[in-house]
Order: sequence, then C-alpha cells, then structure tokens
Amino acid sequence: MSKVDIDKEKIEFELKQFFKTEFPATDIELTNTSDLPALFLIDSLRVLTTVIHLEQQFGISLAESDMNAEIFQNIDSLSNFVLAKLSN
Amino acid sequence: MSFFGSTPVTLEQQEQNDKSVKWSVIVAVLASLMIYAYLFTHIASWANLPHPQDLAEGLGIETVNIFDDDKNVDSAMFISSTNRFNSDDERLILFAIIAGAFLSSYFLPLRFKKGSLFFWFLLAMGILYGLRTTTCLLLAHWSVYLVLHVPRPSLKIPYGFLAGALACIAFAKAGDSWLMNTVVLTSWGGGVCVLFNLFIWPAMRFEMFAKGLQTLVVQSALITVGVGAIWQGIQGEAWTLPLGVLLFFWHWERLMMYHVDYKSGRMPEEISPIAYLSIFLTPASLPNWKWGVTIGQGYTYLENNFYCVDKNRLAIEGIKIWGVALIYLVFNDVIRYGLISLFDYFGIEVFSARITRMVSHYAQGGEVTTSSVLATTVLDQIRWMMLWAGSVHFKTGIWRVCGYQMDPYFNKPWMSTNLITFWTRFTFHYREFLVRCFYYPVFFKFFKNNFILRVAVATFAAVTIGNLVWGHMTEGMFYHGLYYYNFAEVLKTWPYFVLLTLGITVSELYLFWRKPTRKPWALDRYWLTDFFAMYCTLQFYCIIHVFAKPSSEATLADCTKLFLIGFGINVD
Repeated sequence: MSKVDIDKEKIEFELKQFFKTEFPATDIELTNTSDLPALFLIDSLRVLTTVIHLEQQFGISLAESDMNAEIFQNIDSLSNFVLAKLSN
Repeated sequence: MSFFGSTPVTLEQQEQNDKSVKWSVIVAVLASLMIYAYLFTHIASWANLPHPQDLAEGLGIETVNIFDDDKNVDSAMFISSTNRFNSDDERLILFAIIAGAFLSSYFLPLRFKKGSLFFWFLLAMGILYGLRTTTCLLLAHWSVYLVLHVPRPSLKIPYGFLAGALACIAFAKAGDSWLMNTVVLTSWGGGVCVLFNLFIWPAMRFEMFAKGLQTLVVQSALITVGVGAIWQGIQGEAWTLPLGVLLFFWHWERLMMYHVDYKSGRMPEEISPIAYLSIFLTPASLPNWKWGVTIGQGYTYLENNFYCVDKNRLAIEGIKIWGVALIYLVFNDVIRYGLISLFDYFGIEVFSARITRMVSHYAQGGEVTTSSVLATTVLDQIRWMMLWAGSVHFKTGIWRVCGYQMDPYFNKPWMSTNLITFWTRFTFHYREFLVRCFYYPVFFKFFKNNFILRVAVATFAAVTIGNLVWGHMTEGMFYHGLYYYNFAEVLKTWPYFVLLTLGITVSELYLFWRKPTRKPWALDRYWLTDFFAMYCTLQFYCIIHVFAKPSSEATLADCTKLFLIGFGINVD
C-alpha cells in the first residue's frame, strides 16, 4: 500500500481485514473499539505477527517503545498510530 | 490475560472501584486466611480445636503424605532464610499480616492504600527478619530510588541523611551509650548525605554518568555474582552477602522491568518514596521469597492493574486463587507419590520423580529405558510444578485481595499445545521479563529485513542469554553461594537453553507460516490432535531437563545419550 492517498478509514478497514483473517474467531464482532489485547493479541507470537504485518503492509518501522497497550488497544488507536507514523 | 496486561486506569475509575463495601467479601477473605492458619499453623492446639489430621481421619480421609508430626499440613509454603521462629509461627505471622494488609487496603482512602501495604510489609519484616536485615533491604532499595529519582532540592538533605542513617543501623555496631549511638548515627547520616549532595547528584547532571550509575545499581545483583564468583575462583574465599542485600538481589528481575519502564518514559520521573517502595515491598513478597520473584513486574504493570476493577470482585478472585493454591499445597505429595506408585505398578522405574537421580544412575553405569526417561522427566516436572503452583498462586491471591488485578503466574500449563503458549501459561511474569528485557530490544533493532533471523536471534537473546545468565545463573549463585564452582555448574546446563530456544523458534516460525484455523480444545473432531500436541509440548519441555538437572558425576555425553534414549535411540 502506498504511503500517499491513505486515510484513517482505509487503515481501519485494512486492519480489520487483517485481524479477521489472521486470527479467525467466529463469535467476535470486530468494531473500532473492540479490545484487541483481550480478544486477539493474547500472546507474543500474535503481537509479533501484527508488528510484522504493520511494517510490511504500511512500510512503517516500529520501535520497542511502541509496544504498549495504549497503541494496540483497539482498531481506532492502532490506526491513529499508523497514520501518525505515515505522516512522519 | 493479555500479552500487554491492562490498559491504564484513571483515578475516577479507581475511586469508583473502591466505593462499595461488602461485609460478606471481608468475612470470606478473613475466613480463607483462618482456614490457612488452621491447616498450616499451631492454631488448632491454642484454640483447643481438633488437629487437622484428627479431623481428616474423623472424616475418613486418607492422610498419608499430607500431615507432619504435629498433625497439621506439611506445607511447602515457608518464610525464607530466617530462623527467628519455627515455620508454623512464621506462617501464622504471615497470615495475620496479610489480614491486616487486606483490611487496611480495603478500607483506607485510595491514596493511602499502597502505603499501607508497605507498612504491613515492614512490620512483618521487622518481626520475621529483625531490624538489621529489614534496614539493609530498605537501604538497598532506597539507594536505587535516590539514583533513579533524584529528589527535588528541598528533599536532598533529608533523603541523603536517611540513606546514611539506614546504612548505620544496617551495618554499624551499636554501643552501650545512647549518646554515642546518636553521634555515630548522625556521622553516618551526614557522611552519606555529603556523598550524595556533593558528588553523586551533581555528577548525575552528566547524562553518561547518570545512565552508567543507574545501570550499575539495577544490575548490581548480576555484577556482584559475576565478580564474586571470579574472586572466589582466584582467591579461594567466597563473599557472604548480608541477608538484607541478598533479599534485595532477589528483586533484580523486577528491578530490570522497572528500569525498562523508567527508560521508556512510561512512568513519571518523580514519584514518591512510598510509591516506589510499595512496588517491591508488599506482603506478597513474604511467602517463599525466592519463588515467583517476577510476580508484579515493574511500574506500569502494577499501575495499570491497581483497582482497575471493583475491589470486591478482585477479593473474590483472590479467594478463588487461594483455593486452588490450597489444593496444590495440601495434595502435592499425595499426587506425586500416587503417580510414582502407579508407574512402579507398571514396572517403569521413575527414580522417585527426580531427574538428577536418573542421570546419576545412568552416569554410574546403570541401565535406563526409554519409558523411564520419558516418565521420570515428566514426573519430576509435575512434582516441581505442584510445589511451585501452590506458592505462586498464594502470592497472586495476596496481590488480588489487596487490590491488584494480578495475572496468575501459573495458568494450567498442561493445556498448552505449543511451546509459546506453554511459556505463557507456565511462567507468565517471568516470560514477560524475558520478552521485555531481551526479546524486544533485539527484535526491534536487528535483522529487520530477514524474518527468520529476526525471530531466531531475538528468541536466542531471551531464552538462552537472558534465561541462562540473568535468570538461572544469578539465581543459582543466590541459592548456593558465590562460588566459581556454582557459576561453572550453571554454565554446564547450556544445552537445555539452546534446545529450548530451538524448540520455541521452530514453534514461532511454524505458527507464523501455518496459521492456526481453530482454537485448541474446541472439543471438535481434532481434539485428539490437541491432545497429541499437548503431550509433545510437555514431553519436549520435560525431557530437555536432563541437561538442566545433571548430577555432578555426569558428563555432557552422558546427558546427551540419556536424552537420545528418550527418543528410543541407544548409542551405547
């Protein structure tokens, strides 16, 4: 995905697609405020899978300090983070 | 349980969660502690109640391997490294202190709760370990606090003086005259105050010095064991650490996590002394001080989990965890000896569920079969897990009744269907330590363009380097003394760490490429696959312990041969 012409909605859509296909869970409806750490990011492998996806899909680079619950809390906070990284 | 722990909780939420007082919950917590006191202390004799053993026999319960000579439960829960009282009395003091800590944290206003936990801890330490050890432990933590959080100018003199006064009480010999003692105390206080105010704090304006000193105090445990071992190897004489320092060193992993929070800017630069001390020094540290030392982690984890849900719910969860702990503490020997008898019945030698005995037997020329290797390694881990689980569940329960939503350290590890889940379920807080202090720094810095190398090297940093050097080696020296021999003995176990690294790396890569499409244990037609994956995971973790628990007469070749026998390969 190109760095240009990307808005928050597109990022949210892409992230939702990622979580739905990567960690399928039939009984969960994923919204912008769903609790990602509790529902999906329950172990280190899932977190790393998400990190690698973010780096590859959006061409951003994550740092150790980005590993916190505030950023990975939900689709909304995560897409804000991606958007901020892209605008930098 | 989530990988990130909880999200930050606001003061309003905390106040809301502190509002409702339920007397039924209070009675339930105190009753749980009374049950513990009845089973594990002399309280039955004092209160003229039937002893636990008599009661069990009266109810027709089989009592072999449960009770000790004084007819209460033979418990693996104890107070480490002190003999001021007998074990039963120590436990009684512990339960009384926990009751006090629970009541004060339940009823006091929010801003006094953490301080009250520290107060109850200090009281317990003073009774159980005495003034000098308590002061020495306080001094060590106080020094860390002064180096990490340089006080504002108005506090520099009293804080510096306090460090000296603590040092004086911990180390100076008390004289007969109170006047002389006051002079000595003032001199120590003044001297250390000058040291901090004229040298250390001014020098900390230089970033390099500040960072170096901070790393030095945070890594003081590792530096001491390293230098101590080499010193003993050269000079022949081992250092004996004051007990207070040794107890402080047992906090080294949590201190490292605190330092990670500190460096990442995820905590305020200025926090009060009580806020710092109540992170490390709470009644939850007291039972089995040396076990489950990472429970609680650093600053952020505790902050995010303090009164993040209703306090009554937390207390009920704490009671439930204590209930599980009780099962482990009471029945671990029954289960252990039952399993040994079961395998004996089938003619499989399990060496009293001790890998070291099996390795020793093999090294001395004895025969060991594949079934023996598989069964002994599993039973040894079950034995250890049950001892461990009782203690760490009890500690977790203390945190919960005192208002922290603490994740269980040990969460049904036998449900794991791969090594990654196993580590999370087996040692949650220790896994967090390794991931945050070793895995992340490497993963986010090196081999960003090569996924396999990135994962493999980060896993190696955490599971081999971090786990061996900062985990097992340091711990081994604290247990057995600062001898070069102990240092070398731990280093000899390197194949265990390398095999564990390989196992975890392969699992990570496999799961990354072959995405799981279903949740394990869904009781669908794949449950047999789950069962097989679970057995392979546990057996792999258990069998690599032939390298972690070798006997002194066994060589690396002996351990390797034994390991291969476990896979049905006999190379003799």
